[in-house]
Amino acid sequence: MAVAVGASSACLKRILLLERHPRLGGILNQCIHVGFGLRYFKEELTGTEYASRYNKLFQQAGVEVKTSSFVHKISGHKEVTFVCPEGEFLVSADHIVLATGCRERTREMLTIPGTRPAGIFTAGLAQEMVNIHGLLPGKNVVVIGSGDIGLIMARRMTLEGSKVLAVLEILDHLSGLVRNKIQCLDDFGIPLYLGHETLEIMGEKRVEGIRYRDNATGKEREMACDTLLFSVGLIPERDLLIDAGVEPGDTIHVAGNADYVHDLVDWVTKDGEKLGRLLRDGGA
Amino acid sequence: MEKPAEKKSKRRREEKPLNRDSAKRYTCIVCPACCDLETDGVEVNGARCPKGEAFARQEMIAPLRVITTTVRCETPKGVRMVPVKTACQVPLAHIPEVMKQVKALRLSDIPDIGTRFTTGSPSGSVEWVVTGEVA
Repeated sequence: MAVAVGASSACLKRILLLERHPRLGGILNQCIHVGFGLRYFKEELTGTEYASRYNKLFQQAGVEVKTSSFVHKISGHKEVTFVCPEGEFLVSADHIVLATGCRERTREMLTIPGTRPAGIFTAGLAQEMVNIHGLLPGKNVVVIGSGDIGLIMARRMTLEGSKVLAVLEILDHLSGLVRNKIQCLDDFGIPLYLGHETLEIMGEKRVEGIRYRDNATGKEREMACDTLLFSVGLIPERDLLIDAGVEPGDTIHVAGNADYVHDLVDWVTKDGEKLGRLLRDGGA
Repeated sequence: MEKPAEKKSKRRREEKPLNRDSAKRYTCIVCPACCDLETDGVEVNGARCPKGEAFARQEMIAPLRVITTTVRCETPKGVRMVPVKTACQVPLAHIPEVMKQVKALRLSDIPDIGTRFTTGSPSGSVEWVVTGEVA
């Protein structure tokens, strides 16, 4: 995500932004739904509009950008190694900021027993398939977990013609924002089952159904479906730090969702800008 | 003399009398604050901003939503999905019909962000805005 570095741009020193994808914006590029920017731009925008708007601000800052550049190593000696179409490079810097976002928790991390058929996706992967590639992951969908991306995808899949049978949440409360439950589930009559645990995934080649339990009554049931979307939490992406064996400190910083998971992109932006100003003023 | 701060908090908490026979509860979806609203169609309680009051009154008559989706764009470079949203809110009940119309649309050139176009039948058309830059 461009945000953190975009912020520090007002300073005198050189800044290099490395992005692994061909374009800036990160996950915003696949977030076509509205609900972004109310706090930062004082206007309700889609994720894609927010990315485009912020990119304009970022361009004015005149930061050096290298896209399609994959950072595979950072070191405690303030060095960054990355590969890009031109080859492999090593740069050294006074400060390194990781704005690497999050990864989604997967089915494997939940240790749900059962077979390993096709048709199991994280909600964010399904979002990329539908919104970027125009592919429909499946027809009869169960969403496991009530995170925001799962709620958003329940609506998106419904609009695209799939049948979303239910959203199952193991906790007794919603994980995502209440407004997303209303406009994504209630509007389309998609049931939300709180306190329901997924016990088993069934199917040989393709998902055929799940077995789940209502933890309040202990009653077990089965539901037939061909697709499962998991929306069960996000994990800050900090593999570079772990590999390097370094902790964030005076020279290595973590920003945005890689620092902690934010509800709103507006706060990610503001946090990033704050860190940028801090580095500009105090880091000299 | 009343202090301004007291006046403000008093105004926020003041419960307007509602017609109990028709009163309904909603959760505001205008912003992430998710205010609990109660309205009889005229007066609104619980809203922290005027947008919330308008939302509650509208919700009572006919819920309105912005639809966001993608339009298939078949370019010489390959298929691209162009993100779009409705220029105005549309009635919730019309969403399936509106979706059917926009899904049938095919573009051959990638439009710029902000480009507007309409879909629909003579009985009612919907205006759309392109919301993303597609490479």
